[in-house]
Amino acid sequence: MGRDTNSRGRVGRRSYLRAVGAGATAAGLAGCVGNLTGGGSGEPGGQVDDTANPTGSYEGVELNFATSSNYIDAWNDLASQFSEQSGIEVEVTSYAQSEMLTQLLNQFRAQEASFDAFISDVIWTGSFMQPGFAEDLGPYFDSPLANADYDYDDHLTVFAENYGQWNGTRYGLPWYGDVMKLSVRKDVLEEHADAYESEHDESIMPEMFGGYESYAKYNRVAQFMHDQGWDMGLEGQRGWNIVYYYPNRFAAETGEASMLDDDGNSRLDAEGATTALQHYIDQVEWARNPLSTGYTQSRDQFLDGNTWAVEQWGTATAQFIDEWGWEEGVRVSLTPGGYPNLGGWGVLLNTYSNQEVKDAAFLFAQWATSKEMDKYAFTEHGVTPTRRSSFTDEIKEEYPQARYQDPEENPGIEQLSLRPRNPSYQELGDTMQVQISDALSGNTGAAETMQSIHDEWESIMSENE
Amino acid sequence: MSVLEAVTDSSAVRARLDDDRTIAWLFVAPALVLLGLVAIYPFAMMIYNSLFDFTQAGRMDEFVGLANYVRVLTDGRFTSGAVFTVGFVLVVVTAEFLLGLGMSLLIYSEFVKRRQIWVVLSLPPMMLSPVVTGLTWRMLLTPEYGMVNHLLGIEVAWLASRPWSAVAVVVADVWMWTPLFVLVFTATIQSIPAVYYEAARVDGMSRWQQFKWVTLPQMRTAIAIVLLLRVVRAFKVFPKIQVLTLGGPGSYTESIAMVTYNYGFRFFDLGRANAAGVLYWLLMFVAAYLIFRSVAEDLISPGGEG
Amino acid sequence: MAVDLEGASNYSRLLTRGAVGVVLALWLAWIWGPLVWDFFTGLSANPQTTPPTLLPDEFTFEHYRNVVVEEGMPVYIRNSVVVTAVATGVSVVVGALAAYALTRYDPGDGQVSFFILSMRFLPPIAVAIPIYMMFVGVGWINTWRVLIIAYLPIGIPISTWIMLIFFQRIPMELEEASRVDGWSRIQTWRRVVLPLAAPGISSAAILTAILMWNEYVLALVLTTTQSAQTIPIYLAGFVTTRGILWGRMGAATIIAITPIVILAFLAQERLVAGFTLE
Repeated sequence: MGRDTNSRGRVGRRSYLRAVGAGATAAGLAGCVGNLTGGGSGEPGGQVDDTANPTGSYEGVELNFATSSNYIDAWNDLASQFSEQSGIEVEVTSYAQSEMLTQLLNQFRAQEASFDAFISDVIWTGSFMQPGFAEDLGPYFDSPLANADYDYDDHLTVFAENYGQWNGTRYGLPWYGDVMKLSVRKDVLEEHADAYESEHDESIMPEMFGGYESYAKYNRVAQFMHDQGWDMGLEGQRGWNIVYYYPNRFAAETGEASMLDDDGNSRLDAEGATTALQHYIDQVEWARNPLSTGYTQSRDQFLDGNTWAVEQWGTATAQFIDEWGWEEGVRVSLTPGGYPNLGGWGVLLNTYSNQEVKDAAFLFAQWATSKEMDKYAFTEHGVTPTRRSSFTDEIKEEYPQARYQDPEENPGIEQLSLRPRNPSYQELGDTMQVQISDALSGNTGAAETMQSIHDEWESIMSENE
Repeated sequence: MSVLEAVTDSSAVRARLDDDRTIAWLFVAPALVLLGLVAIYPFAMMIYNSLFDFTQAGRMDEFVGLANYVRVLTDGRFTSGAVFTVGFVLVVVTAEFLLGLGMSLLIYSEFVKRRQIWVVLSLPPMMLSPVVTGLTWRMLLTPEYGMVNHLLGIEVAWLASRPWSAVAVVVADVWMWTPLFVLVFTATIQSIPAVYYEAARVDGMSRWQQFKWVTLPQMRTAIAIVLLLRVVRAFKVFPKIQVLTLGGPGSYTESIAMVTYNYGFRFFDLGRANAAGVLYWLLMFVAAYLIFRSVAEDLISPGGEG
Repeated sequence: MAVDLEGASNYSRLLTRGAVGVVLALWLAWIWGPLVWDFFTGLSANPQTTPPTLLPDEFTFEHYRNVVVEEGMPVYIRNSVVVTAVATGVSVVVGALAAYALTRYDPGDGQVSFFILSMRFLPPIAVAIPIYMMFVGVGWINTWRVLIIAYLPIGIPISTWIMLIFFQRIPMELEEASRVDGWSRIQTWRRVVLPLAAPGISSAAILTAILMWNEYVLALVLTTTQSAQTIPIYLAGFVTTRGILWGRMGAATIIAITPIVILAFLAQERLVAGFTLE
């Protein structure tokens, strides 16, 4: 955790302040944040009396759970059920999605984190795990707190790794498994199928699971449909959405899931990286208000029947299926080229809470991500499952969107495109969205944009090593 | 006041306190001490911190001299943010000044009755949070569901294309702050004694001349104050843009405050954030000082000579 | 001060009157249109329609219920009220003392007033970062007191300056006369200066309170949870990655602006007086 450099910095700063005669106050302010020391002591599960019922030993413990306000209903429900069953009081605090990372990190830096467990977006995991803010869960799985029926390996591997692991250590439990999908209006495409097929000698319809084989193909259809008076949905407004849309295209063109290699070097100088952006730029012409469209707008356009296709996350896909009927009005598939972007969440524990509360928080996290609750959160709150065991025939029958998450039915689900999952993601992603937004609005060309992002990424990665 | 009274009752110190200067310093002291603690001290810390590198976890790492300043000044985002902010300030303050002056003269022309009501009806936008202003205009300017494109019968990507996103930010700001100019200007115009105009008419002045030689000189102080307040405030533009365009397309509408915030609280690089904060302050100080110098006589007239 | 058009015919007078009426109507629509839009959005069951309509096709109070009951907006209002009230109170008291002394004796020959004013040049983000760093170690982040402290560099300069303008206009002769009558400085202050300055003090208080009520950047950096966050932070939360909740936003906006607009209307004479410069 860089303690050496830290204390060196503090000494240097102290002596400097003393020199200028401010030594007394410096002690209180030294180094902005002093050493963070974990609160509480003892082993995980140390106070469990009855190993058959570890929860019983924590009755009356109060813990605070932090969630994005997007999932406040689901977590309020889970928390109240758990409190009732276990006697452990769980209070839920919600944060605006756009500010949550900053707000949680500010608290960690203040050593006064008001929450004991929290959900973390896949791309925030690095920010919490790398500096050691999240609790290593390894000892908990070896303690009396562990539930023998939990079956960690039941979580899909990509979810378990990306939502919960850092350098091989387990910090989080997967909670919300989400992957981008392409939804198209099957009924509309069918009307135009003959005309397209005679012109292009290929099918207009994406494969049921696999989707279009490439973005080049998707673009051909998009251009054709545009000429028929149908626009596609495309998110091109400056925002994080751009860093969902671009990686889909990058991975499809280069065959690399990640835009950084294992040593943290940028892969954005690859030829495919530029082609990927060119595809994105070309689509602007065939899309509905692409520059002003963010997440909800592209969803609403599709729901309103104004677009024929859109790349979207699971919750929106579910709404499309409700609105247009699965395989009637709407066909859902992987994104073109078969590398859909990975979203989703994990549940992490705050390492600075005291041990008793951490134990209780672990019990809550374990319960909330158990087999039973994985299914429950999906059917009740639309939280897409992370566990293989959730893809039962009944569930897939009633909720067709679950089929896309089931590797047995949709093998492509385990090949995904990933955003850089490291603490510098905020800056890497920010550079990317800003520059691509510029390119989409016609201000810069694809090749120069990618070169410029590549250079920035290299410099960010070397500065923040 | 009771403390002060107690002090003045003690005859030993009374003589000394009778010195006007001492009393004056005593009165000014709380402001100076508080500002020293909550503004000057943090400001000094900011300068100091800007010379260090910080870890992602917010811990001070090593002394790096001016390296943070170099990084900030060579970052195109920061410089373009500074340029945009200066341009934004010039455009909005000019527009608000002209529109505010025009509306004030109109409201106080002989054609309008019940002027006070018109002034009051003009005020609400300036009382809103910039966040509210941003959200409101975002709703109005959204292409598909917004009222503006619908009413005008056009299709403009107000929030995401050049130059319209800058126009959108300016429109929202002008909407919000013109009322302040109306408030100040109408109050001033109202207080100009009618005899001045009578005298002007006796001299055979035209309406334009009356405006130029009577109204405008009487408004000098008000203009100076409101310009100073607005320029300083406009330099801080942040949440309005954050909500409206997020700084896009690209970094086209990104303000210097947004860039500085991003360094500190999105990229978690406190060294760069502090350096950017110092540079930001310098820019603002220079701008404000230039205005202050040019209007200083209007503002400072101690001893109630005005 | 009204000036009439000498020699203008009745006809052209009528024409001008009509034109002025049109401009005023446009002005009113420009100022109030967006607010009316907010109001109806907050009452609309389907806030997003293409093409947009001003009047909702279906009215609902659901958004208000959501905002107040589900999302706990009253808590943010409480935080805003406490922080605004305390920070405004301190700023106005401190500012009144300073402004009085500056107009009467001006210690430091104009340098002090410029120094106080120059605190307004500190960008909020430049105040926020060091204050954050000062208080992060002592656990004051996410408290009312850290916000109150952070608001003083905003409140003291603005209130000092508004009152400066006021105190300048209270003739010094009044005080001198009362001193001759044998009143102490304090008596003079209480019985002569304060009553005359009251409008200035109250308009300084109102304008300072408006600034603090609406402050965003400092609150964003210095507070992290609902227990200390203020209304603007809550409102900004409506721009989420899962979409902008227009209906709730309209409702919350109306709730947020109502107190401040009512306050300003009640005190409008004071507010205007605060700027009436002789």
